[in-house]
Amino acid sequence: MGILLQTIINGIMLGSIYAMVALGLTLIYGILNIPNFSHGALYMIGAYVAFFAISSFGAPYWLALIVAMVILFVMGMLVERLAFRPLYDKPLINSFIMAVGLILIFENGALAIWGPEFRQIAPLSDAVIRVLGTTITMQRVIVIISAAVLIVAVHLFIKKTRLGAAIEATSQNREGAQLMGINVHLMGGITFGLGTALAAVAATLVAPILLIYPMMGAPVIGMAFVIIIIGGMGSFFGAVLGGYIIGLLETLVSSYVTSYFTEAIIFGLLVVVLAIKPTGLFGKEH
Amino acid sequence: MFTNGRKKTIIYGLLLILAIVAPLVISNEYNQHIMVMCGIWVIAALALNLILGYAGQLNLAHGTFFGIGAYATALLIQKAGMPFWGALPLGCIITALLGLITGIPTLRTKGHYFPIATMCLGIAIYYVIARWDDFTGGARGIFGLTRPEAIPLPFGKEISFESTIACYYLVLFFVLVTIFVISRLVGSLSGKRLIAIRGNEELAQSLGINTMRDKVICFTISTLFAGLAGGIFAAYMGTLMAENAHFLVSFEMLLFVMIGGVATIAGPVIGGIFVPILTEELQFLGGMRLVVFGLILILTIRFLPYGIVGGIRMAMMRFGRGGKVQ
Amino acid sequence: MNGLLLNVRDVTKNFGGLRAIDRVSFHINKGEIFSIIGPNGAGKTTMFNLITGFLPATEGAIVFKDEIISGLKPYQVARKNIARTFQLTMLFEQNTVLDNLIIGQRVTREAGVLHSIFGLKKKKDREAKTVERAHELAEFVGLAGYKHTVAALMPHGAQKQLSIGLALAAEPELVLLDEPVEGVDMDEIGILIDLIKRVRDSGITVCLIEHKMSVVMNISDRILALNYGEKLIEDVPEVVCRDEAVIKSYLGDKYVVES
Repeated sequence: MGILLQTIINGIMLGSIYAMVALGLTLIYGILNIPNFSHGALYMIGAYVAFFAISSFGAPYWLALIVAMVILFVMGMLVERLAFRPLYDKPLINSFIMAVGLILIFENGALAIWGPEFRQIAPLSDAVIRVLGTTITMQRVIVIISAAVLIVAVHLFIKKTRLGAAIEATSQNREGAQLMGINVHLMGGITFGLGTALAAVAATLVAPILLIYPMMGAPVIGMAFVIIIIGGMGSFFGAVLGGYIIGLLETLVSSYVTSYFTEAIIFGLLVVVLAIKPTGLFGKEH
Repeated sequence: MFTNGRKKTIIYGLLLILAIVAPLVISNEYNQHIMVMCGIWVIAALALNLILGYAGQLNLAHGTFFGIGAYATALLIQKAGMPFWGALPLGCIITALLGLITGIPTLRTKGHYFPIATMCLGIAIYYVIARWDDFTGGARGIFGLTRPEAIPLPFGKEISFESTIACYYLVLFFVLVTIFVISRLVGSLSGKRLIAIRGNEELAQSLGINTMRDKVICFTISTLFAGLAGGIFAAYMGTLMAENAHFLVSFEMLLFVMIGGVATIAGPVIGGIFVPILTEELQFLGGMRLVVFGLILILTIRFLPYGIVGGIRMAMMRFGRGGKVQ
Repeated sequence: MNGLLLNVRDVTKNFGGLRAIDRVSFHINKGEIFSIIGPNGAGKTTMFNLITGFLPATEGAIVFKDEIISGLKPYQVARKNIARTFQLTMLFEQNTVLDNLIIGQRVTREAGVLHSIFGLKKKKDREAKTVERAHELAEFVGLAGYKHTVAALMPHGAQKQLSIGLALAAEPELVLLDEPVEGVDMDEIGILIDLIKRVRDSGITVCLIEHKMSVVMNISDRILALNYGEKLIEDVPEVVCRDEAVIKSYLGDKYVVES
């Protein structure tokens, strides 16, 4: 019973991370129609920024989190402006290749500059709670709660603020939004920044538990794509719900069935899903 | 590249002669090794270009199929005791079969779902290779593969493949075969169908072209040659690791094709030679090397989307020589 | 029935809750020029998409020469010798006019892959024939001067001519033209109308979607009028242009016809 609870908590925690990363990815896709392969690399950089904020500048954890969020927001906007915007009227493949180039730069740059060693951030809290006869680290609970809060905050931002409405309008009908005087390019940039910032927060939140290393974005980005394809590319709820489900699924399968072929199974499953429904389970035609 | 057919034949003839005498001139064994590797990459790049440049589908699992070909050939040699000359064609067939099986579901996807589907496919297969310790050696890999067996000649002589030079000529042979098959295909009416699919798939369908069938055939041929490159790689290198089937390999091959020039025959050849040589020259950069390549890729796709070959063509058109627009 | 080429029977198309086509029936006779008219959103292009297999019908059947074609995929419909153009001109933009016209031919779509790689003389002959026919098609549609021009670089009217040529490349029996003169200047319209007449004269049945009444009345043998997915009338031009419902659909209730 205790193990099951721990596993479930781990699953929800992993799911929280996936949900945030997938949400960022789906927001970017929804407004720009680009599957941003480089999302994972930016996620990783977010963690490193937080790490150096703490280790080199002695910042407290919560400040490092904010710094990572802000810096990656700006980076996201820059990437959109410099890398992707010039390619909007070109074939889609060019954007993919651009993303591949970015991955090469970021991941190998991190590897070359910061080395392959695992870095660690001290958790915000070392406390431990006892529930139903098992121990659960406070850090995990913090991750889960912070993620939930942030996701709700983003939802409120989109639904309740004018800027959020402008972003939503641009996602649904770019031309229409433009005709209404909305600066669609700026909306795209902001959304890109927002999505990237979400990824940075996710990385920083989970860093004390899962450690930091240059290739940490790779497994996450793969899963994120699985999630948004199943949940529907561009769908807010699909990304969030899918994130939690996949996180739980992965953790449960690893613990109780086999950890050996988990990835192969999940990705293989996705190929099957796409074969049956070529636009994803709940995909909307853009 | 040139519109004048006669000029073309002369230039290609010269290049062929150059390729044949090259190892006699370049006697440094390490450089010869580079040339062998270039040959292998050229085959893989030509194959990728078939599905990417001509059919317009970005197959991010291409490197994984290279890996499948490598592992298939290696396992046939090591576990089934087959000679290289049997293992290689069989390895190609196995790779092509896998390409056919996975191509059918993935090619049903539209637009940007295909690269994603192939990316997931590549990841899934990579993990199977990397984790199936009993069969593929897992993370350890396969080692101790022998070179291709010597080809017997009359008078008790034989062609042995122990030397790098001999392997170079073997690879060169396969490069020529690949160029022959692929250029014949894309220059033919079937090739025109591929170009149509790349240009506007819906329009092609409205003209009666069974685009799904053509895409699957193209994908299968593409994976067959990827497997060929992989099989040669395995036998030449002697060792294989799961890393050789990683989707990062797909990215590398993408580099060859994009930098050399997509949708041409010359492009992958140039890219498959130029990029690995550049990689060697830039070794002093250590880990930053791939960063530089990422930068080159970005600049290429941004400013020179048709690569080196495209750049040359544009330059020629600008100076009034009149090249064809692809 | 002799001369009956296409028979659309009680076809309905729903998009979720939206009924785009509501139990529409009509037929097209061999050798005629048949036009489909109606205000924007009436369902004209949807009807084309249904006939050519780009959309599945919710109900009803589409019969071509005694064969049911509803439910076939687009390339299968095309192989039954039905060709089409698209409202937003679709061409192979990066290719020359000749290349476009080579791609559209039957020989091209039927060429085998193995033959393409290993074929010898027959292959060369086949390819030469496609080039020859591409030249003929280019001249037929009036693009003799543009043969080696890249499609994207041609003026809009020439592109419309090419799209018709492309549809003709596979020797269809029925050709569906979706707004063939849309966006074309006044002098070009004449060229295109001539072309459409020449297509019909060469034995090919033509079905048009068109907005310009002058064009429609000028060349149509019969007309189908749609509004909000429903059939208003199917008859000869003289009758259709006087039909009250048709006039109302275009000009609104306020317009009263002097009887």
